[in-house]
Amino acid sequence: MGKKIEIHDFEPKIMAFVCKWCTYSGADLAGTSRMDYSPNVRMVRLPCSGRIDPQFMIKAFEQGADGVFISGCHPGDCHYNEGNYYARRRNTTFRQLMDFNGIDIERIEFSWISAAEAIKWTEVIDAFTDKIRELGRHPQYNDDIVDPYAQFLVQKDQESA
Amino acid sequence: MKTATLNKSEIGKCIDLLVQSDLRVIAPRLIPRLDEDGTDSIDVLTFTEVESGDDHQVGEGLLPLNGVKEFLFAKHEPLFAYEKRGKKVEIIPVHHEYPQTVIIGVRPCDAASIASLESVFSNANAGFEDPFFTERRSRTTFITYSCTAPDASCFCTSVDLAPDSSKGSDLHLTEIGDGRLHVEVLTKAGEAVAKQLESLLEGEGDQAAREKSGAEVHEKLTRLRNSAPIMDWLMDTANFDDEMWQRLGEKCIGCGSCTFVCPTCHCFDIVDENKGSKGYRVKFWDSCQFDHFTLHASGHNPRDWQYKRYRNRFNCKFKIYPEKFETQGCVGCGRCIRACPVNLDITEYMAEVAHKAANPNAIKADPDFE
Amino acid sequence: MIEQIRNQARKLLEDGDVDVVIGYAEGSDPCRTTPVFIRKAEDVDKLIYDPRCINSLPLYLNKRHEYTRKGWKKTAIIGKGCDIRAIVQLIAENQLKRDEIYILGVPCEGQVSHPEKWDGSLHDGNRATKCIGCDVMTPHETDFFPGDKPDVDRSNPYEVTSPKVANLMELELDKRFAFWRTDFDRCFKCYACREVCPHCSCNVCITDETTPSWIDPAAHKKGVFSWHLTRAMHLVGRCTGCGECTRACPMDIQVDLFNQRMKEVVQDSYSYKPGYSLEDKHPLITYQVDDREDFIK
Repeated sequence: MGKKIEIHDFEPKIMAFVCKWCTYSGADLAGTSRMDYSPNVRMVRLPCSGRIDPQFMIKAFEQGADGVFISGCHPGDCHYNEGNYYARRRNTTFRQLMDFNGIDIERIEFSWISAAEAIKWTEVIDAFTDKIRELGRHPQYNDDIVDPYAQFLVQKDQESA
Repeated sequence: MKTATLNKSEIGKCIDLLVQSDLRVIAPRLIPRLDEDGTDSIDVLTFTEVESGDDHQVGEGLLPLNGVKEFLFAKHEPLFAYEKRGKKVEIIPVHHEYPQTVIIGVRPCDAASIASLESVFSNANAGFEDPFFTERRSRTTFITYSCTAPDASCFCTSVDLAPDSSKGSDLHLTEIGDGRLHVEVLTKAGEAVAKQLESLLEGEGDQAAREKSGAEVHEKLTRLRNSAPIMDWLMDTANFDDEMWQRLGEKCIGCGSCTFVCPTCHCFDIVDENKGSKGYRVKFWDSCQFDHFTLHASGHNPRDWQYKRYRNRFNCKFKIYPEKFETQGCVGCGRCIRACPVNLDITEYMAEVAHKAANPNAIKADPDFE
Repeated sequence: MIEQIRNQARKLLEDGDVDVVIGYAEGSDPCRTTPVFIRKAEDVDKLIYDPRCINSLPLYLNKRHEYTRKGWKKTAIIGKGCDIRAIVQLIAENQLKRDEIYILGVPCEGQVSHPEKWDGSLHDGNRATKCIGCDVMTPHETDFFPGDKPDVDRSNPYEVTSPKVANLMELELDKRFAFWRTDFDRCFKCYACREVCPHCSCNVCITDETTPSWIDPAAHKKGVFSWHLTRAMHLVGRCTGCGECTRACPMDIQVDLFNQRMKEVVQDSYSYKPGYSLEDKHPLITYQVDDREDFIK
């Protein structure tokens, strides 16, 4: 399954928060099966999607992520029985909050990916990366917020050793 | 001292002249509301940078919410940047901009507070000068404007100030009737500004009218307190445990609003804001009313109850600063009274202390409280 | 009406049923009232109640304000409808026990939004926005109420009171963000909005955590946005709409617009109105198997 990955001028940074029992294993399966998918995603493995605090997502945007991806076990299949139900509720409200704040919620993706769904993982990640690539760099959380003091740095003419 | 007359209607032109001379001009402005806010909206007056003389509230409205503190003592600023490379840490200097600034429309209470900030940040006698503050201060000129309509929360006359005082001012304006202002040029910086505004200034002013109009405003202040006995009462350490601190301070919720709007409060905190191996060391406003302000690393907190934190604030303003720096800690602007959500009133403390000072046999401590 | 409240308070204190009565007293100038803690029966005449009493008193029942340390075994508190919602929500969250509180309910026609708008009476020109459409003018949960309590239908969904919320939802995304950027320019992270909230009760607030530093304490855009979004998120399903956060803000920023919008979301998604039920758990700590998930891939 060799897929040609093209490098573009703008490569988005995608931050993914995934649960270790389902989605991380699914992504791992994609790796061991030698499937290709967009390398823009950086993953943080958590025990359960219910562990995902909206704080992580806000922080991801602040640190320069262009898109945030959250994924866990399918409803009913959570390793801890209920974590993903809470994650679903939390994200429903968090998306509305982001929307009210003026942040494009197209940049936040939520999905259910099980440990067997390696193909789904590659497809969803590829689609999300392409979408973010088209949306471009995050305009609201641009350099002004990501690095509030960048304009204070003295211009350095040459890199010192 | 040079004096002159200026027409109040020409203040907009003054601002234009100053802006055209490449000065950063800061004046009180009403924040424009985007659209219908509901019945709760009130006009918000703040000091902000103005680009033209068309949009200013100099001489109108009483006190902008923010005061001039933030233009000298920044709300937040980086001290330096750093980068860790292996075992070495490289310190990278940061470059601040200090434009020449004129702040116009400052009320006498705010102008008097500058001396208090200078006693901490720009104190050559104490051997320390905060370079950020000093740079900004040396490049800032204050055009002050006497008050004509103090409100019920103002009490500058109770702390040895006056609504027409020119303390801390470089160029002072006082209304003298018929839409005219009496101009007093007080310092070299004031002279430089007066030169910029030459075309709009005329005549010699009217000293008698200025004094008369100033005196009339004095009568309008209704909140009057006797501040003379306060410092001595506070110096007596037996009064540190007086029951009044608990009784008056019990309702304080520690929100810190008073310290943030106060023109003389200047506590700050310094943290490192990290991103991987790079970061900035940042200085920003802090408040003694926060519960972790005096929290020790051991977990002990000497000011563990809220009333103790307010006691500290009162002491800071009326004893510590006058004693240590011979400068006033409170300028009577009344912002803390307006801002406090639970109506904790510093002048009630002043009245209570004056009462206790006059009646030394009052109860000292209430053992039933804690 | 206030005489009946005072008499009841006097009785409670004299019989030793409560340790303290929290109520309103005359403030330091004629337009304001102030919270007061009455411990002795002879002081109950200080208690007043009129449209200037906009303060939300339940914040003194919040453990962050030393409630647990003050040794009050049982507290009586004067509550108008919105305050009682806050008390009910605190009980629903196990921050308080129902038998620790004696609620002296008062009928409320509305409150004046700012002291400077008080001119002797309450009218449409000075009524606070939160009072429009209030369904707890006669409070819902009380231990004592002067007079009869008519039955009120409180099943109507929560209505957002500030027109600004609807106006913002009509703007495009980047204009909305631009509005928040401008409005939050004035914020200097004083956290008054946190301290007046009856529900903010974490012993160490997330913003005071320094290792790691989740929310930068400095007042640059990053720190300000981070704080307000986090505060809004932590109050989802818990905010009872007292409007104290906006009133306390020293720079007059309408911080409760977030909270109002989230109340609307919670109402639409989970049919939950915080502060009306002593038992119902708030929606983020419960779930339904068939919850809405139209945005999930």
